[in-house]
Amino acid sequence: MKKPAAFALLIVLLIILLAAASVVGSVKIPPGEIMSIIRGGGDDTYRRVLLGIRVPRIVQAAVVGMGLSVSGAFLQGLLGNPLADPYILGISSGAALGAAVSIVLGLGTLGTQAFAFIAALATIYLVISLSRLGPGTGGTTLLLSGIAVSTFLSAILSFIMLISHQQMSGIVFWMMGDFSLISWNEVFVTLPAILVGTLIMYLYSKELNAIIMGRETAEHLGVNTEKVFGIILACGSLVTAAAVAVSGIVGFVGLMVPHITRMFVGPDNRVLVPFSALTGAIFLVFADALSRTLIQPAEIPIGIITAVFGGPFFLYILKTSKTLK
Amino acid sequence: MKSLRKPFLLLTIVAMAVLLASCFNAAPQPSEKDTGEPAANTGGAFPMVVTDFEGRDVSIEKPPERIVSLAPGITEILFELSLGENVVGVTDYDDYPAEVFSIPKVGDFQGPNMEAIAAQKPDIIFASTLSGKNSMEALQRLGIPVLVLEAKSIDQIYNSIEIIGKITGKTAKGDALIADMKERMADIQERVSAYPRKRVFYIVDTNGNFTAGRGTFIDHLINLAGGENVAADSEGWAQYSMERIAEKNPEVIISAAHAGNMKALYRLPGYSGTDAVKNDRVYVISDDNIISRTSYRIVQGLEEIAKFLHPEAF
Repeated sequence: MKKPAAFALLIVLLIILLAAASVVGSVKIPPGEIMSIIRGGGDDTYRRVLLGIRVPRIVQAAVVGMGLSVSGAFLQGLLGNPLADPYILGISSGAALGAAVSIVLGLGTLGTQAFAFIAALATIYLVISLSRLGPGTGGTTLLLSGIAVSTFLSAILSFIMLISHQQMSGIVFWMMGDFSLISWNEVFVTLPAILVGTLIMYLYSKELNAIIMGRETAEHLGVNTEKVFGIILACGSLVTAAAVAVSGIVGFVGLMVPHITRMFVGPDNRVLVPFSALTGAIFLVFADALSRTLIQPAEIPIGIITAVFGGPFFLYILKTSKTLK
Repeated sequence: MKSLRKPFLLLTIVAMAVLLASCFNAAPQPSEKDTGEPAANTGGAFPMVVTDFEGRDVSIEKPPERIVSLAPGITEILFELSLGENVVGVTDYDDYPAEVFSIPKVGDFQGPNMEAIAAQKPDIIFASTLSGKNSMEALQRLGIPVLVLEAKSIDQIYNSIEIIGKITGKTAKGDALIADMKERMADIQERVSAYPRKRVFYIVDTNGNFTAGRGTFIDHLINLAGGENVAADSEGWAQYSMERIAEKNPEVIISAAHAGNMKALYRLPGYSGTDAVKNDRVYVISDDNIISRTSYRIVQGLEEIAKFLHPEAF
């Protein structure tokens, strides 16, 4: 299938999925009601459920899915590591620590989001600064720095959980990823940040293609790798931090979606990035719908759903990489 | 190294034999023999055999003087029956009454510490499933009578007070406590019966939106206090979706003491449109333990909930 046609198809699929996801949930809204609500009327309670709780959540899932997938694609290229995901440079550990501190201090949702966001950005800044201690800002140096900081922050997080065992379940729940507290407030704040960040990254797709061939090669092709690295890291971190701040740590999306998309559209980032964005959005909207409906009225944290897909995915990669040999 | 093999082998066999022997020679198990009187609480006469809530028959020689309590609810009851001086060991979970803070801790959040317990030389241990199933075996090997009086209902709380009263010779105090509790409970229920039930949602933790569903103590208390737990379609400690909260539209929201920030609640999507938030009927329990701990203070918890639901009745 030609790429433009496939792209259009994905857009249609996303729209259909968004509509379908709006219809399901732990509260059954009769189709007639949905029509009334769309036309501006409808029962007050149903209206609140659909437009105030469900729709913003679905939109957030799509936006986060898009953001994480694109960040993942770029980080995989930048670090030259197929196992890279948006969290690999320590953002998840930093954000989790920030959220944990907020939860223990009893600061409420807004506090947790703010703390997680700031902590995430502070962490990536720390990781990049530390990586300058090594030989150049190469992929490996960044990775090592990320792992070092990540491990350290995780240790502090574990300690905090140990001494505040009353809030431990709240912290663990946050870490599993959760869209249940999303309202239009969160969407309004994160949507511009994630959209802008993703768009800017996309503009550097060509440069990323060059960097994947090797830094020296890229430099010879006229790419200012230092600058590109900086911009992509900054945008990727902003997007990921925004996503994590409002929805916790949603794993595997940033890792799996670029790989799966690459299998279908190839490694050219100018094509891979937009397709990953759409695929990521579709995947997360679907996963969120599952999380809301499988054990209603309870919800399965979204991170668990994505991890369930993640396991078999890795096995599949294992299998296909073997046959390639 | 042939010359070393034989003695080494012999040593290993001897060591294993000693270890195995010590396992079997462990302190005598609590009496499981049928003494001829099924679940006999021989009123006041020692030695007596009591049956704990796990169905185990435990023989009590005389009123215990050194008591270790691994169940905070039991600790509270002991103190209320004027047995505070006999309590020689409590856990990190214990916080009421204030005297418990000066009692040696023999258990933390990970479970009871066998050495610490043994060091206090207790003549009875009140255990609970809080200690974990693995600890039960270890506790019994200490050779000290172990009683599990973990109440799962208010009636069982009365029962546990009765048993404690009997084995400590404080039957009069125990009976008085039970009577007082029953009287207060009846009074509360009568007061609220005049009013229509209010729809209530109970928040255990705002992170993840956990509530107390059907079958929990809190659910039971809400019903007794003249309320209707909207989360009754869930069982036990359950997570509850925002959509359902909006749909169920609780009139009153009660939150656990450590559930999280209540001001933040007013902004959250599912809660913001509810009657409870609109009419500012969001309350916080003063102390989580009065509604979840199996002690006489459960009446206090019921009273608090009833006042939140039907202030006009008091």
